[in-house]
Amino acid sequence: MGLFSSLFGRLSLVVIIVSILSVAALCAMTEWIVRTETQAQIVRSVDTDIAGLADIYITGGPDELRQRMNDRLQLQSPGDIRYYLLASPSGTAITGNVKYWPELSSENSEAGPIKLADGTAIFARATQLNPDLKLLVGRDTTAQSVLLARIRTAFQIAGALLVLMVFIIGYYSTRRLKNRIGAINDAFRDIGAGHLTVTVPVDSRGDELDELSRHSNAMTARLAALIAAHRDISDHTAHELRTPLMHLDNRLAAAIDQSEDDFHIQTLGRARQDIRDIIAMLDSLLDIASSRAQKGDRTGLSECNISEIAAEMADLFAESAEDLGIDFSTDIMSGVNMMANPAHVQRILSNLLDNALKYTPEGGAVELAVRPGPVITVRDNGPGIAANMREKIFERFVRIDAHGANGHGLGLALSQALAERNGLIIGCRDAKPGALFEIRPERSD
Amino acid sequence: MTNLHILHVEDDQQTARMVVETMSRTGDRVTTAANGKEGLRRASEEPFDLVILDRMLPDMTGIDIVAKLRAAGLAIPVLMLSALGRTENRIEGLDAGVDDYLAKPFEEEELVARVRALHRRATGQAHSAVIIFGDMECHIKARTAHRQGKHVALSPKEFELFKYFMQNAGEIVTREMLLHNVWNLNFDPQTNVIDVNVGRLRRKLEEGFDKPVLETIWGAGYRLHAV
Repeated sequence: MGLFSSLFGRLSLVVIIVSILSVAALCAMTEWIVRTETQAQIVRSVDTDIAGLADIYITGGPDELRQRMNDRLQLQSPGDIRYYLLASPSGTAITGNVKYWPELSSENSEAGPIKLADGTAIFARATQLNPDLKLLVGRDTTAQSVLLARIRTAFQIAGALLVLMVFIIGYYSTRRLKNRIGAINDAFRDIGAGHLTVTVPVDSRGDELDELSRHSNAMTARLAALIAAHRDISDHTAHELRTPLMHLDNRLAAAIDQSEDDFHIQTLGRARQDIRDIIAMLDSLLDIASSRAQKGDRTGLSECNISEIAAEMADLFAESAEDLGIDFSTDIMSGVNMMANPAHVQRILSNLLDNALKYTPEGGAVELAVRPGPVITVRDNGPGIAANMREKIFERFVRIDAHGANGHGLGLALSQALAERNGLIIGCRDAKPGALFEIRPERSD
Repeated sequence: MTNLHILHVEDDQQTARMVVETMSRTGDRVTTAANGKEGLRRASEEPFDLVILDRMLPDMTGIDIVAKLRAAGLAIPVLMLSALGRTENRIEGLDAGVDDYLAKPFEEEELVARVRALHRRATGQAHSAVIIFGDMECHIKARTAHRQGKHVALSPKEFELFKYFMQNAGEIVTREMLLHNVWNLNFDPQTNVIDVNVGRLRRKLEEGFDKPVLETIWGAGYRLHAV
């Protein structure tokens, strides 16, 4: 089974994707909050600074302002670099650490991010102190960018570690679960194949899988008990019917021995034959029931050579065909094997060949063919089977009685039940002329 | 003909009586055990030639009994006589270690024939390299048949049929015995295929000779005669 066709493989993949998306979303949210907050701090700091310098200008004049600006520039701390520019209306620098006036309107007290000549990114606000003097105050935003980069890196590392941990935990959990589910599946496969003594393994964890296993074992035990009961009823039915029938048969045999009247002897003889017919019918019905109950059960099936079985059955029926004046031929490809119960295959072929010979008139032809698959066909050129009867003939007690053949109409029903027990199915088609019975694996239909 | 001492394990009195009467007619002596435990004890303690075993006994199954006998190393031939006569019942019995399986109701001749054939097989009487019976010879290794010194051409299956008749020469061979031992079938095809095949063998064995050798016993089977 491929990784992603496994339920646990898919589940692990989903957990990994959800983890990546969660970490990415958390990272984006954190970055947005930090960015917004630091930006607000910078804006507040710049606005406070520019307001203070404007007050100094109003109270102390331009010289005082220059003095204070220089003082502040002298006292710069490395983590909080400030930028100042006192300039003429044309933008020519009077004092400060910014060389050129940026694209900010001092008349409108415009504020915004700008880039200095050396490429440094800062946030600045401009203001017009008087018609001949304008002031720019800015703060370095590099620290903010560095902080955001660190946050991103931290989240990337945390995300990678999380995905790795999810992958490792998922992998081992998947493997453990897969092994446990695999053991349950193996047990079910064996149970499905008819090995009802197999139990699903139960761990001591007492989790949902153990509960499932316990329920499955209880169900299998019940199934085994039902099959045993079914078999017990079948055996006892056969036993309880056969025994009195045998007593009756013995009495009839004793009466025949004592009688000298031909009519009585013949009548009693027919009664004994009737007893055997009733027993044969009972056995066929029990065989059908038993085969249907065991459908899909692989116990008792072994690798068998279908070609050899078919050849032996052909050999058994060849003489009968010759006696009946029927041209019996075979087209059996050698080495065709399958898992089957050889006795069942013999019985199916015996029934189909017997029917073919029974319904084919003298001078007709019957052919038995075997091909890989296996596909076994019994074809005759007799009167064939009407289209509306081709499925019905496999039902119990259904007979095509036009030819006055004996039987209870159970032969084909039994053959079909035996075929299904072996994973095969028998179909009936028009052989144009005649009937064609085809046995092939059930799944290929 | 050797007279046999047979143990019959059977809880049904009528069947037990019938088996005693049938086998006594051929000079055999039958000891009956009415339940599985007694049958198992007697089979282990007394020297019987053959065991006829019912399958469904009140205290244990015939399958269990034969399994215990085989586990104890007793190779005594066992014929299971059972009211369970379906193919799967027969195969189960044979797989469990019984040597032959006969379903109830049965013909008396069938029971006698099965017991005789089983005893012959168990005592190795049927395993000679060349079997000579009357004017017939069966060469097992060469797979050839001869009558009055003349080779009789048989197909492989006809030879198997002839060999089985020769191994059971002079005794009744039933259709069911032929189905099981020659065609390896554990069910009755309910057709006359066996009669037809035996008829073909009979023609080959008797064509050009004065005296018939293969007799049909009505209601029972066939018997090979020595001439």
